[in-house]
Amino acid sequence: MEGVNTIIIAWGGLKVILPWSGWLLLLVLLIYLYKHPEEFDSWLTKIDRFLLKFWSGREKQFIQRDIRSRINLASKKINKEAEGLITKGVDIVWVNQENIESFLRKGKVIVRMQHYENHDKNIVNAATHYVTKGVLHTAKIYLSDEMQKALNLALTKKILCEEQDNGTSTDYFFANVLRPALNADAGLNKTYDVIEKMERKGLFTRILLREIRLMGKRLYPSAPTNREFQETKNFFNFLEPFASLESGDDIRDWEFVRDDIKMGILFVAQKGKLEHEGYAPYIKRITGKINRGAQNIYLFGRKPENVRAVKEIAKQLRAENPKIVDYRVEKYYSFLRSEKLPAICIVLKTDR
Amino acid sequence: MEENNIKKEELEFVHDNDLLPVLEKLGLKDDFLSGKIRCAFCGEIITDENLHSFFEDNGVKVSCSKEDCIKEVEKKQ
Repeated sequence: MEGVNTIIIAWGGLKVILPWSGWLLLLVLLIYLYKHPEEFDSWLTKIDRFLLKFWSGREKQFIQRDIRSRINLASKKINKEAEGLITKGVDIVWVNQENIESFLRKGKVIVRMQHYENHDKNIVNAATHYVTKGVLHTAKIYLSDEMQKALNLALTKKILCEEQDNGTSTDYFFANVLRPALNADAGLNKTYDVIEKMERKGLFTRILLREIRLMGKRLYPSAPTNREFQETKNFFNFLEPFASLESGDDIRDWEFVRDDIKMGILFVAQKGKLEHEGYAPYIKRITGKINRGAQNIYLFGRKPENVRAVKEIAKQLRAENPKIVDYRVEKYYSFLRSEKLPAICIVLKTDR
Repeated sequence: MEENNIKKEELEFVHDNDLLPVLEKLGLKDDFLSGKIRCAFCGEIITDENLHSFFEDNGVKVSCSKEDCIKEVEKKQ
């Protein structure tokens, strides 16, 4: 009898709570959609794709939403790796006979979007257009033509690969854009290859593009000279061995302090070093880099114990060194011999 | 924290459904249909297969879809 009473009471309570929980769920859902418009767009794209089978009149809407959601999701992820690196995504504007002249007068380039059957080509064209227009536009002028081309190809690939669509647009890009471009130019091929290694090591957006962007921010719109071309080239060459490193057990550290790029890298990885000597050797090395003029120090670590150490080293430095005025933490996953490991990159910034 | 105030980029596209009316408005439709329009960069005849984009450069110009021409047209903005 007592059991039946409990059920009746519980049911009575649920009847009161359920309507409230329904509203609460709706509210949580609305907040989620407000905070993640890219994901919402992506869901709507799936609905549009389904409706397109029955109603071809929705084609423009589908293309618009699909391209926007792909690029916006990818740019969100890229900006997470290096904040402010690229624009916060795109808005797609359809141009027609009524407004094309005004867009052309404003100096806009109007790209053709083909019918849905050529959608992979549309996506690749849109991603290429976006990368050229919306990424590092104040910094690219300080890079050689070859490096600009390689960066554009690598970023386009990164955007396309972020989205899971069974890889059809990525396949189209590989077959029709990337491979022909690399096959036709050995220098471009070599530069692109290094960028690929940087990407695998997590250095492409986090260090290379970030430092180049900061350089562009300082210099733009002054006309590029040989000095800047040489500096960006030297910086690229400086990062190459770090990108090519196999997993090491040593403390790996580097610094590049020149006219416009001033940075250092420290990789916390040495087995046993932390247990025997603590954080002191790392702190000493970083302090040395700051004293020699490095303005951004990148601390990397992977595996739980090294991630903890990187956090602790950064915390101590921020408390002890008044030159450090800001910092940025990014947690991500890294692969070591197919093993997925937690990783961290902390950027310490000094007063310029 | 680092700044993250870069606005969204607007990308302008013309859909195939609007292509002929757009060409007509620009006074290019007849030349396009009779194969008289050439790529502003490589000089190749523009067709339905290779038309990539429109831009302004002392008059309305058209680019084909060759990789080098796309790179050139992107420099125009």
